[in-house]
Amino acid sequence: MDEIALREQEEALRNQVAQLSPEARKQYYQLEEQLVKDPDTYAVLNYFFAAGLHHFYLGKTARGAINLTLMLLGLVFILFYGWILLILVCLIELPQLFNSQKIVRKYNIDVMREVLDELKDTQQNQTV
Amino acid sequence: MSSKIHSRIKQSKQTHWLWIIAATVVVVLFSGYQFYTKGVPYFAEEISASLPKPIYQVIDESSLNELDNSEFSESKLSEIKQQETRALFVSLLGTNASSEREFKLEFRQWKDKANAMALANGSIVITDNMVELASTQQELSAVLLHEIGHVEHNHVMESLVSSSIVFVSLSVVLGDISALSDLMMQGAMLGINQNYSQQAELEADLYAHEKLMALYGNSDAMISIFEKLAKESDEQHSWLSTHPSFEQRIEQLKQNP
Repeated sequence: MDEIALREQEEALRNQVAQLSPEARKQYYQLEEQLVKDPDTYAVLNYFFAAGLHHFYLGKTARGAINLTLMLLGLVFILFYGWILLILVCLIELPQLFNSQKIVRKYNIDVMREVLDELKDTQQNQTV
Repeated sequence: MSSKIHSRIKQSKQTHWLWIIAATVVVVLFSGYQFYTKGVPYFAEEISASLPKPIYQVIDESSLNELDNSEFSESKLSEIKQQETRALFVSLLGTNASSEREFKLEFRQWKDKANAMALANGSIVITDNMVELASTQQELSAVLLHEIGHVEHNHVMESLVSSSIVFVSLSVVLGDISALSDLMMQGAMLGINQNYSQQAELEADLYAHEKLMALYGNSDAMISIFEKLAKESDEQHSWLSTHPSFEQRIEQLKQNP
């Protein structure tokens, strides 16, 4: 997803938030504060490429656990070409370091869209 | 607010950070252990083997000069005894003619102690008391072969490179947190020197054992010189000792017929 598409989605989200009732909007911002992730934290955790810490940060526990397992296997067999495994995982994860801003923005958009949907549902149920 | 959002916040705040902290601790501890036990010895061996000859010469000469200025005093061993010992040393080197190192034998006095040591480029220092303590040619051969073993296995340079790798690595990781890093650095150095040194001694013992077996058909002289040294030594062996205990070394020799 490119920069323009991300900006459009964020703009659309802001417009939807503006249409919420004052009470729902307050709830939305409270939730946003707690749920959004920081791209810099993600990038810092990504320095530990093979350990998968950045995946854990975004809640991708399975992917993080796979990375962690591969890293430990690479370390156990470090003298028996385990280092190749470590380099491979690093090479796979490296692009995410350079795309950390985009990845985290997309994650935040997805999360907040879900929150917005939930709030709208709650509002509708209360109206009904 | 719906329960779905509640559970999401709870999950986001707790579980993810638990995973991150647990994974960090596991990875840091395990990679540190692997680096210390496998990485350092591997790199030390590779780096030592690739160092050019002049570096070995400089370290060898400067170490001997330093020891001459601080610890050693001139040998009082008779010229005849020195010549006999040198002749034995040359005969023991016969099989090491292709070695890269420049073997030479030096005689010194060292606080009236029976001792011998090898330097990086093949200089072997033996004290007068050690020459006198090794009363038979076979015992003297055992001592000299043990030191030649250190040189052949490149123990001195590998030990220096190991210490340097640990020093540089900890400096990079810990930065300039002086008190903590000094403490950790000294602990790591002590650990690596003690561990490496004990392994090196046992390796040199095995080298001497094999050579003695080939020359004399047995390595009894090695056991007898260790017994003499054990009687002479007034130091208590501890887990911090750089050498294994004489009992342990004799036991190893008996297990390798």
